[in-house]
This record gives sequence, C-alpha cells and structure tokens, in this order.
Amino acid sequence: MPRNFFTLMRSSAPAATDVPAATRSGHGTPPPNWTAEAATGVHLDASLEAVRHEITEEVDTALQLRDVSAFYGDFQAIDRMSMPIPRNRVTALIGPSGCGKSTLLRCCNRMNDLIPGARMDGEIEFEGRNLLDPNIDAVEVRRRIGMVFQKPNPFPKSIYENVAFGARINGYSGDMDRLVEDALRRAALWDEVRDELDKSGLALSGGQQQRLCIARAIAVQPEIILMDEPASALDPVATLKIEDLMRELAEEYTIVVVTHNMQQAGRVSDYTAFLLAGEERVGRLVEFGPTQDIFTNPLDQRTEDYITGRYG
Amino acid sequence: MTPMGMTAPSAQLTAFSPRVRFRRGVSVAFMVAALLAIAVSMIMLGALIVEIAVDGAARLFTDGAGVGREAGGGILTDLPTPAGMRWMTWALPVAILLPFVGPRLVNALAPGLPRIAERAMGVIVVAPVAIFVHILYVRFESAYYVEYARAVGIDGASGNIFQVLGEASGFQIVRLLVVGVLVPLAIVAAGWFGAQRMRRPSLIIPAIMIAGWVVYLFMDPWFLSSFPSRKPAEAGIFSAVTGTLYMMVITAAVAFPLGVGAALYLEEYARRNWFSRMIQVNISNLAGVPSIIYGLLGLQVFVRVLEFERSVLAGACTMALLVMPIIIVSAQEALRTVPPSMREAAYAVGATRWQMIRFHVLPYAFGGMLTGNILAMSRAIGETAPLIAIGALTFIAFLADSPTDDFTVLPIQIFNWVARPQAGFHEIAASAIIVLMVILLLMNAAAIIMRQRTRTDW
Amino acid sequence: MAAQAPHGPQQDTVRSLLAELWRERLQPSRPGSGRETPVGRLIHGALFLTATLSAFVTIGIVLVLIFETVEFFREVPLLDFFGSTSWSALFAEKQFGVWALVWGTGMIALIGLAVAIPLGLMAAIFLSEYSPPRLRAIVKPILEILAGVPTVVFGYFALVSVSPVIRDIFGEDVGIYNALSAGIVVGLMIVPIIASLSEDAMRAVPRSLREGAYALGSTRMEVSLRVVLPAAFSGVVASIILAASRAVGETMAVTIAGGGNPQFGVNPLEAVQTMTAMIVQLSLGDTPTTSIEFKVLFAVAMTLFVLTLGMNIVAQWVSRRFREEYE
Repeated sequence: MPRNFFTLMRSSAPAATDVPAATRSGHGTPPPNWTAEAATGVHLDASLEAVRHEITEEVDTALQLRDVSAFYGDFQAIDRMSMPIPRNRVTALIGPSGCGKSTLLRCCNRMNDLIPGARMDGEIEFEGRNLLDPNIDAVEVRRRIGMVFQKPNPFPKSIYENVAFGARINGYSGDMDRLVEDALRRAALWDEVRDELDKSGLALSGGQQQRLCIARAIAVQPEIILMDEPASALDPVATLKIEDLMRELAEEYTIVVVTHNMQQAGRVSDYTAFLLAGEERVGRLVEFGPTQDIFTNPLDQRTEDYITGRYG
Repeated sequence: MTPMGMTAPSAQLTAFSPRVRFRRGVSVAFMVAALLAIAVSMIMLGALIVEIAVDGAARLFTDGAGVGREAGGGILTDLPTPAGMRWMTWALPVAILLPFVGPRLVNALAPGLPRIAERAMGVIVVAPVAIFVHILYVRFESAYYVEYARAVGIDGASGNIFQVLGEASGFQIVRLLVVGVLVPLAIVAAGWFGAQRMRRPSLIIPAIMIAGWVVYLFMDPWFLSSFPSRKPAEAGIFSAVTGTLYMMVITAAVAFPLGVGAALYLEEYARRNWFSRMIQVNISNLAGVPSIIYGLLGLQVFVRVLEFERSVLAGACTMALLVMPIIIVSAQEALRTVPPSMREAAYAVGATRWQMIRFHVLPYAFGGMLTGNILAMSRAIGETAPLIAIGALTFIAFLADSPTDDFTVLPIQIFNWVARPQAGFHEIAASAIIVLMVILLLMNAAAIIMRQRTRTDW
Repeated sequence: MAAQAPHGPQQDTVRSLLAELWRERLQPSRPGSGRETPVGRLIHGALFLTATLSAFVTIGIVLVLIFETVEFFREVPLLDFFGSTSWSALFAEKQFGVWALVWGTGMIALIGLAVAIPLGLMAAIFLSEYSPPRLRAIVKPILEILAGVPTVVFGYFALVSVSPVIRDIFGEDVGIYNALSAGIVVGLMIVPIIASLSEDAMRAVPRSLREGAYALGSTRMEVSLRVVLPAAFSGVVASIILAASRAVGETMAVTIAGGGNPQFGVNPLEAVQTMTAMIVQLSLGDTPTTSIEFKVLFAVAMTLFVLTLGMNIVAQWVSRRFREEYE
C-alpha cells in the first residue's frame, strides 16, 4: 500500500464489519459454524471438568485451588482451574508455551498483584484461609510461600547478605550466621562458597546463582516453594544438581515447579498437572494426577499427544 | 514420610517476627512522603508560575495606561491595520477547519487522489500559517521603519513596503528576504513535501493559528515593541526580543552543522580507538563546564582575539560552543536509532559510505537531530551568564542591523531589571519572563511535535 | 632560532604525527564501505574536523584560563589567593582570598543539595517504584519543564517569592539577599537532575531483582530502599555529584539572590558571594583588560573549572566503577 495519508486514513477507520468475527481476537462469541478444531487443530472439550486421577497415597493438601481464574486487563490467562497441591511433594505444572503455567504459579503467592491490571478470581485455600482474599496480606503470603525464578536473580550484594536479606526484613531474631549456613547447606551450596561468603552473588556461575536463590528462598522458612522453570537457563550439569536438590527439599517443603521439559517433570515430580490453552489462548487444566499415572496412562487424548511429543 | 499437621509451625518459625501490618504501614507512609516530595516540587514550580503571571501579565494585556504609561502605544499600535490583517479574520476559520476536515472531505469525495493533488492539499493546509507569518513580519518591518523615520526626521514615512525596501540597508534586505519570504516559503515547502507524512487530520496547525490570533487580538504589543527606558512604565523589550531572535538564528546556523558533523563522524566514521573515546569523554565533560566559563572563552577568543567586539556574532559563536555538546549527543542518539540493516542494505546495492549516509542515515535520523537542536536552542535562549561575561549590553535603543552590532537579549534584560531595587522594574521583568517562557514553551512543543511527526514506522 | 626554521625538529615530529593520524583516519573503517571517492574523502575530512573542534574548545578553555591566571599570579602571590579568607577585589586595598568565594559557593551548593537530595531521590523512587504509568506520564514532563526554566527566572523567584517568606519566618533583620533563598532555588533547580537521572538508574535495575525481593515477603518500601536503591547506587551517586557540580557552576540565580558579599561565615541568612557571582560582578563593570581585577576573574574561573571538572570526572568514575553488570 502506498504511504499516502488519504489511503492510510481510510484503513485506520474502525474495523470493517465484513471481516468474519471468528478471525478477530477478543471475547466475541464464535459463530455457530466455527469450531475449536478448525481454529486450533485440537479437539477441545467444552467442559471445564479436568481429568483427575485417583490419589492413592495418604497425603495432606498444602494448597487447594478452586476455580482459579486470572486476567491481565481484558485478557483472560487461565480459566477456573481446580486442583490440590499435596504437601511435601513435588508437583509439576506442564504444558506448551502460553498455557498459563507461570500465571497459575504466580497466583499461588500473589506475585500477580505486582502487575498493573492483573486480577484473580476463585479461591486458593491455605491453612484454612483463602489466599486470594484481598484482606489477606500479600507480603505475609509471600514470606510463607517462596519463589524461585526462571533466570537466577541474586541481589547485587554478598552471598551472605543475599541469604540473610529475607530473614532480616522479616525480623529474624535468631543466630543469623547459623541460619545462613543452614540455608546454604540445604541448597547444596555451602561447600562451594563457605570461604567466600563476602563475594558478590553475581560473581557465581549460573547454576550456583540459582542454588543461591533457592537458599535465599528457604532462609525465610517458607512452607511452600514455587519454582518457575528453575533450570531452563542452566546447563545440563547444573540442571541435574537443581533437580537433585528439589528431591531433597521435598522432604521438608512442598514444591510446585513449572517446567517446559517433560523429562524433567518425569524425573523430579510426584504429581503432574497438564495445562493447555484452547481457543482465545485461555489456559485450562486438562489432567491432574500422580506423575507415574499421567506419563504411563494418560486419560485425555491431548495429554497423550503432548507427552508423546505430537505438539508443544 | 508421615503427613504433617496443617498448621504445625516448625521450631525455627517462631524466631521470625514479620510484623507485616507495621511494615505495610511504614511502606504506605513512605509512599505518602515520596508523593509529598513531588508535590513540594510541583508547588514550588506552581508558585513560580503564579508569581510571574500575577506580576507580569497586566502589562502584556493592557493599553499601557493601566500601568502609568503616557499616551501612545509602541510602534506597532500606531499603524493602521493593513488589509492583509483584515483578511486574516476570514482566513482564520478556514485555517482552523481546513486541516481538520480537508483530508476527510477529499478522502471521501475522491479516494484515488493523485500524488500531486495530495501535495497540493498539504500546501493548502499549511498556507494560512505561512501567510500569517509573512503579513505579521512585513508589518513589523514597516512599523519599525516608521519609528526609525520619525526618530531621524524623514517626512512622509508611511511604512509602505517599497519605501522600506528603498531605504533598507543590506542586512535589512537579507532580514526581510529570510523572515518575510524564505520562512513562509519553507512552511509551504514543508506542506508540499510533508503531505505524505500527515497521516491524520491535524489539530496542531489550527491550535497554533488560534493561539497566534488570541495573542494578536488581546495583547497590546507596546511592551513588545518598545525600547528599554529609564522609566519602568515606558520600557519595553523590543531590542531584547529581536536580539534574542538574531542570536538564536546565528547560533543554530553555526552549532547545528558543526554538532551534526561531529556526531556523524563519531557514529559513522570513527573507529573505536583512543581518539574517538577521548573525543567522547571530552564532549561529556564539556557539557558539564559552567556556562560562565564559556563566556570567558568567548570574551578572549571571539571578542578580543578575533575582534568581533561585543556583537551578536560573538555572542552567537559563544552560545554555539556552549550548546554544541547537547547537539552532538542528541544527534548521536538519533543516529544510533538507524537500524544497521538499513546501512547494510545501502551497501549491498553498491552505495559508497557517503551515499549511504546522505540518502539513508540522514533522512532517517534528521527528525531526531532537529529535535535535539531545538532543545539545545531552548537551553541557549535562557542562558545569561556567558553573554554577560562577553559584555552584552542591557540598554539598547536600536535594532541590530548587522551581525557585528551591539545587542542585548531577553534574559540579560530581565537580569538587568531584576537587579534594580525599584518594584516597577521587577514587574516588567516578570512581563519579560512571561514572553521568554512562552517562547521556550513554543520551542519545546515544536520539539515534541517534531519528534512525533518525523518518527517513521518501519 | 628553531621556531623560525621552516622544518624545525619539533614541527617535523608534529607533522609526522598528524600525517600518521590522518592516514589512520582516512582508512575505510567499516566493512563494506569500500574505497572512498574524492568527494567522500573530502566529507570525511570535514567531519573529522568538526569532531576535533570539541577538543579544541577544551584546549581553548584551558589555555584562556591558564594564560590570564598565570598573569595574575605574577602580580599576586599564590599564598594571598589560596591562603586567605577575605576577598575585596574592588576596594582600594585589594585582598584576593579565594576561600571566601569558595565558601560562599559551597554553602549555597550545600543548601541546594539539602533541598534537592530528599526531594529528588523521593521523587525518583516514587516515579520508578510506586507511580502508576499514567501519573508518571504527567509528572515527568513537568519535571522537564522545571529543568528547562532559565536560571534568571529562578533568580527572580528567589528574590520576589522566597526571600520575603524567609524574612517572614526569621524576622526583618534578615536581608533580602541571603544565602538561604539562593540555596533553596538552586536546590529546586537541580531537583530534576537528581530525579531524572536517579529514576533512569533505578528503572535500569532488572525486574527480576524486584520480584526476587517481593517473593521473600518484602514490602514495596523494602524493595525500593534495600534492593533497588543499592542496585542503582552508582547511578544515584553520579546524579547527585552531577547536580552538585551544576549547583557549583550555577550563576544567575545566585548572583541575583545571593547578594554580593564575599564572606566566610556560617550563617545562611546572610548575604554571600559565589565564584560565579563574582565573575558576573566583575564582568558587568567596564574592567580594563590589563587590570588586576580582570586577571583575577580568570584565576577564580580556573578554580571553578577545576572544581566542576573534578566533580564531573568523579561522577563518571563512580558510575563506571560501581556499576553492577547484569546479563
């Protein structure tokens, strides 16, 4: 099109009415002859009821999600997800990009509050209270539900101060040196950094930085640790260390991990939730259950397709 | 693994006392304090504006009698309104409507407009502005001539433009040509070449027209068109405003090519070695040198060694050196926004480096460079100290006829009035400040508009 | 005699150095640029000259200042200039104790910083950490307007608005010209520098750091003060030093409002004179270029130049040396 201001002006007029509604993005109801299959090539069940495998072991529930939805402005990112997060287990959230894994994770400690225009519906029960209740203080929630991020993000402070930071702001009155050592030991980093605690956290290697972030998270004694693709920026050796660490930490903490990598989910997690974004890019829970069951005996066709690598 | 109770706190947990509620409160209090800090700055800026408006506005909007001025206005008010001005009354609604409805109308009636018609449309849209500038300026020159004729005792001076031309000195003719003819032509040319860029109906041109018209109708220009005087009620800023305008034109003419040249060299030619690093560090250090030191440099180099005396030229050259770092840095930033792919594409079709720069880099970055230049000029327009150091005078009862004449500028005139003890001079200082700030505001607005208009989407 | 010889040894050295420099300059420096045409070469040379102009400006400033300063110190011993605290250049009995002016400059700069650091830093923290985007879109341009107001206008404001308020508070004994009112408007003038540069530095702190701190249960203030501010420390300090340098070099407001009384007292309610105000004062009078008053102008300017240059270099060094590198 020529860069002519008259023609351009015409094309900037409000969207013409002859454009088929189905090709527009937004929330308009699809016309009757439009099917999800035709648009995405995936068969979508209209029901929100996800497939749930039976949980055979006796396990407490750390978090109970009920109909959790999240919106960014007008855009709905996840739609009415319900599932339990078993205590002292590793729960993996898997699914293709843009299916709402990270959004769901960030709902669990109210990190979404920090994004302007973000909104959450539904209920996340934690110790008998609803985390999503506006009266519940997000600061308190985040202290008890820690988080580790995709890219290691140590503060530009010494290793010691990185670990002590959370304890300091939360008014820790005990022996700080012991707390730091303890956290670093549990994060399997102590032996590598014990002689250089004054060194900047940024001077460590990527894998060490990520373990430092884990140590930082556990130093405030959270009950639950959320991990958002914690190994995606790391090399295979460092990834292996992080995965071993997750298994060890699961003895004391409840861990929820978002991962892109199905092998990783299979290796580290006890439970797996498979999420998928359907039409309008809204993420929904498809299947939840013990990892063993999900991987060996998926009940939903889409889960099987994903696990066998048919798409993703 | 045994399941744990729902709320059993581990032993270590008790060592924490998060006091979340308290910390939240502190955080909110902190936010309020931060807001207050901004509010304090805003309040002080507001107080500054109010103070100046209260002190100075009266003088700009009265006929002079209200502030103790004797009969008679400034030189402009003595002249009858020329025919062109009467036409402007009719032209104004057209000028307001045209840019707004014109494109829509033509678009609706004749969608497949040929290129030449589109350009004609662009010209028509800006033409009222050009005519306005032309008429106002010619009127101003005539008025000045009448005043001059009266002062030296020439009879029968009517302010007819041919009479003015017949008496004019070389510099005045250049002045008339540039401001009265070339500037309006440049506006028309901008409409012609910029027609493609006007993507939506313009609100800016009508806004400028309305503002200009309101100022013309309601502001009695005697303050703008009178020379300084010993009595506050008689004093005006005619020589200061014209001095400022002269100096800005020369400063821009000197500083813009030099600054852009340096930026082009540093971005497009220089290798990353000690030399270019040294120049770069030097430029950022120059930007931090107090302006008065540039004044001393100008005093020694331009006034004394090159013997420009205390002239417009010396002042403009000093100012050019002062603002050059700003122009260089902003031009460099503009050049850095040129995508490397464009340079490669130009080379790939066999362009030499200069052709690549001339035909691809410069057109792309020119808008940003101009914006930087305007911002640099708005810095220069308010600078006082360097001009005091080179010895610009404050009492100038004539207009500069050549770049080597003595001169004064607005900020110096303001300084001179502020420094006097009489309250009457403080008031006219406030009026002059209003004029200065309006010029500054217009320049900044022009910079912002230019930044938006010349941004090319790729 | 060497100076008169057409090819003195020194000239040869200079010439060959220049030739070396030119040869290097004229090589095509970017891949793909090919060999330059004569026109291209001419343009290249011209652009090179414009770029070197800035170096000549610096050299010019230094030479101009040194030349007259040396002249000055031929007549007045160094000790009288740097070893005394009383200044009376315009009286019959002349004293050139520069410390009186440095002290006046320092006092006004300190008052200015005392006003501007809290205001500017808080404004920066608010804009970067708390403000909704829409509010920032309003506040930032207003701060830019504040930065663009000519200093002579601030001088007027100090004299007409700030001084009367100070007199209302501290009594009629306080003069219209005093260091406090000049310092306050200088502070107001440098608020935008601190606010804007510090905000840039704080916004450059990666989002992930903030999220890391929030995930540990920090409040917004704790994130701002204990994570973002330390991470942006170099930029913040550099902005403060730059603002201080601007306050030291500031001329018109302190000339108008500070009074013209070079003195070495600690009372901010008295009139002081800064180095810049003294330069203006001497420039306004018709000082003969051979007189000692004219020469001392340059000695004071030299002191000012060294001071501000030093501060700028320190600011650059701080922002380079202490910058945290994030990937």
